[in-house]
Amino acid sequence: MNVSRRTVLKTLAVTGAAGAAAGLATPAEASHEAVKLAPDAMGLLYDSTLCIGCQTCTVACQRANGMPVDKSLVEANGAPYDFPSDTNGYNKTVIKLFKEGDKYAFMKMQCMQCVDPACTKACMLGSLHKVENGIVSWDAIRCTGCRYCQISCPFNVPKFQWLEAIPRITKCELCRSRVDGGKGAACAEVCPRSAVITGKSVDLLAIAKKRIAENPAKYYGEAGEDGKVVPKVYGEHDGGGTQTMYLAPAGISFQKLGLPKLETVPPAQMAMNVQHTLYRGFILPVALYVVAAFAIVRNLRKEAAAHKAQEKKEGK
Amino acid sequence: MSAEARPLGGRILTPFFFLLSLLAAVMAALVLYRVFAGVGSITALTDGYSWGIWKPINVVTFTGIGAGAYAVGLLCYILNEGKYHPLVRPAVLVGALGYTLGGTSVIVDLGRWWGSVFLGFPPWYNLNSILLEVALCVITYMAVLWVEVLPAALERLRADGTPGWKAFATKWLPRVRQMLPFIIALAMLLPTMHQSSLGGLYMMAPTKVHALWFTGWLPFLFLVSCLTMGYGSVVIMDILLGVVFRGKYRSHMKLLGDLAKVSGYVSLFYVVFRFAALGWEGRLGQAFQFSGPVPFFWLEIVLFLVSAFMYLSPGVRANRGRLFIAGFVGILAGAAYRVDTYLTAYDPGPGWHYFPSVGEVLVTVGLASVGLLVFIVVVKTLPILALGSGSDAPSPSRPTH
Amino acid sequence: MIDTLSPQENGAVSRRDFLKVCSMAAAAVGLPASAADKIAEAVAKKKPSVIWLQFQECTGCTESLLRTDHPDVAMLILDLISLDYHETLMAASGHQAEAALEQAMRDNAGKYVLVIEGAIPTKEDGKYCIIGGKTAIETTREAASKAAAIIAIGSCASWGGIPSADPNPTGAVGVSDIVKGKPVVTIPGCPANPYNLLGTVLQFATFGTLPALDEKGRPKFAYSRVIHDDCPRRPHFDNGRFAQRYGDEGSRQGWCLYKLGCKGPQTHANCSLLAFVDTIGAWPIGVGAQCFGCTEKEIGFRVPLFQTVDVQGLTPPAMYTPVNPQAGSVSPLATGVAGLAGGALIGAGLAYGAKLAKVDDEAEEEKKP
Repeated sequence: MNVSRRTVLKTLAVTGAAGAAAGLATPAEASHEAVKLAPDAMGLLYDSTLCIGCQTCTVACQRANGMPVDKSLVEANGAPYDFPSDTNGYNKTVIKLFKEGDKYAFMKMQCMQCVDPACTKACMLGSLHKVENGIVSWDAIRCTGCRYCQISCPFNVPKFQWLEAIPRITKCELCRSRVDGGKGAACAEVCPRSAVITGKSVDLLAIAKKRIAENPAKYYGEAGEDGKVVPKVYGEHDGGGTQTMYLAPAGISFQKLGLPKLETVPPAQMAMNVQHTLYRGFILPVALYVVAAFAIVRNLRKEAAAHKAQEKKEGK
Repeated sequence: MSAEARPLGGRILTPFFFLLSLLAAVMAALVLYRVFAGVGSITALTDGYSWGIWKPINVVTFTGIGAGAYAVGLLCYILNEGKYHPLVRPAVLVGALGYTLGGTSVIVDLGRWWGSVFLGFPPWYNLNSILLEVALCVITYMAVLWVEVLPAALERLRADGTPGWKAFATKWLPRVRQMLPFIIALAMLLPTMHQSSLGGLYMMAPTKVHALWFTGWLPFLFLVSCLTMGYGSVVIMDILLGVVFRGKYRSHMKLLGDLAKVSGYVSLFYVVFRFAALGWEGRLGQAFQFSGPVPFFWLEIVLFLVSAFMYLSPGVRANRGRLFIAGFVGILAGAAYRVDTYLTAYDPGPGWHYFPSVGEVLVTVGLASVGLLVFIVVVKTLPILALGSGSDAPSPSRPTH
Repeated sequence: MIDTLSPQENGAVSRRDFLKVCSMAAAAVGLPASAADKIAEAVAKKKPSVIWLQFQECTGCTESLLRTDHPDVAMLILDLISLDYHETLMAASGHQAEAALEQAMRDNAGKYVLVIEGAIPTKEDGKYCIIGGKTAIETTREAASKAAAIIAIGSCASWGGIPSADPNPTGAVGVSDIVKGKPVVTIPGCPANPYNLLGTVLQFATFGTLPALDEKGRPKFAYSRVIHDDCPRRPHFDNGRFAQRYGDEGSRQGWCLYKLGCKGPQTHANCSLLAFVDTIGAWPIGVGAQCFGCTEKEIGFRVPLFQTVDVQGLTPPAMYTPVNPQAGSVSPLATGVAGLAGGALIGAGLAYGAKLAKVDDEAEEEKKP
């Protein structure tokens, strides 16, 4: 007996229904509410035009967080000093150098403290979560080491201790765990040029804008809709806004410094829209279950009845 | 002769068994080492590529292969095509094994695996997390699958067990059979949720997944392709069993042929939908910029189309070998889609590189060996397979559930 | 420490010793070894005449000259040059001093080296510095007109120095602002490193040429690089070790003073390379005090001590963490194993299927009549 047209149509109907459900959750539906920057949210402002690449911030960060010395670049490339080769399981911040011919600029990399982070959406048990002052913090007890946060972070911020039996996720938490807390980030405290400063993100944004206003030609800008190039503060809107913001020197784009080009919506927005639409109130799963249970009970009964009829026919 | 399920019997300790055991032992040794030396000690994973081949292969592909239970179950129980009953039990066993392997791989992959006990602690659930939904769903479904295998075990106990076990089985078999519809309904719901979400996981990485793979339709596409993988795995399994245990088990070629047709149409639907979604989202042009992972997109499409056209050819369906190849290619197609979404089309940024380490490959191979091992042992000892000279005519025989 | 050569017991200096002095003098100021012979030669002919004028100054530059060692000042003024006028060092005073100056300028017209120490006030027609009835401006102009070479020693003579600090009530300026149309070698510093002066003077005396000068008239051999580039504490700067306060741990460990406002990154000088008083470490950074940019007109006595400055012409170290990580590698062994496993699986599957297909085909064939 061939597969009946009926069967095929039924199959397609089922898949189509599922598709329709998924179609409900297209990105246009902002069913996930955008998170706004809180007035007391803390962050950093890093001005690449001021940074001299001295790495005092890296050293201070290591000290303040009790991290060991990282000699990875020494071992890999014979560098003379204890250069970390990137942020990693033992380095929460690092200064990187962008060089192209005679053009160069320094870049400080650490957690962006996103206004609406992707990692806090990804984390299964809420190990990565936003605490007071909007700082994104990692909780050891809840972490299963699944590393989904690493996948979802567009900045590749969370770093993992790959060679530990009891590994941790390492990332900047604006020194909130310092014993003499309230002092703020160690990096900002020691920077000789105040290239990195800490404070409330709203204040930092104002400072950045002031610097731009005083000397717009000094900073990197992007063309707006009207085609006019306006100096840009990275993090003001990027990825839904980040509490850690950047200024770049004119002629050197943020992408050259290693910051990805992002939309103004948080990167996890679409995923959350789809997920929340499908599972809102758990309605759809429960409905599907009820329909399935109903169908199965009915079908099994039908089959048992047909079997009985067959047995009768065969005189059993 | 009624197509009743019976243990296959036969010797357990064959040379093949020893080979599989050896591969499994290598895997076990590597995993033990990993427990003490860290995930990075046997893998080539880095902070940019924090998931390697274990997720797309051990977890997503093995469970995709195990989706035969779901795929056949949909036809058998929801669409009331009862004729597929003989294929359900072995498919469920493959499913139970596939999911157990996937779950094991996840634990091995978890850096802080002891924390997974808190997956049983709802107050800590982050309901935004797609991975949480996948984890809970997979764990529950794994339990459901083994519960579905339970009747077979109980039947064996009732037939051949000691008096104590016989009584136990006699008491519990009808009760389990009574609960079965509600368990089966769960077995239909849960894979719908997590097979789609396994694709949905990568909706969280819009900046890293290539435009040809990144879409809000990821959950739907993974769901559809898990069906084709499931059908493919049932086809392969049934043909193999018929050849390996010739004389004792006969492949249900008629049923497989019908299944093939369904799978063929679903595969075509997948391909059409994939292009349609790309068209809607204005990314179709990317398919013709042959750089980076784009050739792999075309490879996937080719694999899906080849299996679809093979499935839909009567000549293929009548021939065990060609049908086997069609199923094999069908599984490869789904596997390619998964590996591509998770790895090939995943670019965390300049400077990051990844290729699986020897350790990762050996663990994958070892895990597959364990699955095969257990499958062989179980079909030989429990009434899983519908044996007999096997008439393929759909007999309204007593349901095997 | 380089010892001075002790004269022979009869007070004379042997030719050998004298040549050693010339070699040391040449080496100390960057002249090639062959210069030693030329210096000896030139000096033997006639010692060059040097007229040294002092205006708004503290005599620190002279004092530092007195503390040179190779050559020491005695050797300098007795054997290498003819210091025909120097108010601090000469025995004469009053009218005799004035007469000495007149005679020196007359006798050596067009041939003497004019060294000026101290700033020159310009307000109220230069009334604020009158020596021997003449303003500094007048004296400078007159002396400069007949000089073969004009050297301004010290920051005061180079660009005004301390007297020119805000609000500059006397209108103090450097020599170049008074003498126009003739090259003025400026040797800034507070005090200037005396060897910079000696090198310039000896070169002129030996070869008749002035060393290469930058746009501010400073000899490039001493002023082409900033302190930052040759600072012994530079490794600490490069590695992020800074003293945050006087006396803190960083300070005690001798770490970089940049954060305390060290002007090294913008100050052109050779203080770390050519020790004052022939004592290594006898300079501000050596004793743990931040450089305050005494050679630079825009910085010394102008920019506050603790204010940090941009690092000019910063060249990042050759080895630095790059923007993009260099992470992950493809091991050939892994590629081989993975390829083998994958290939084996796919190959086995397809081969098995093909074999089975053939079996069934043959079975079909047999079925046919």
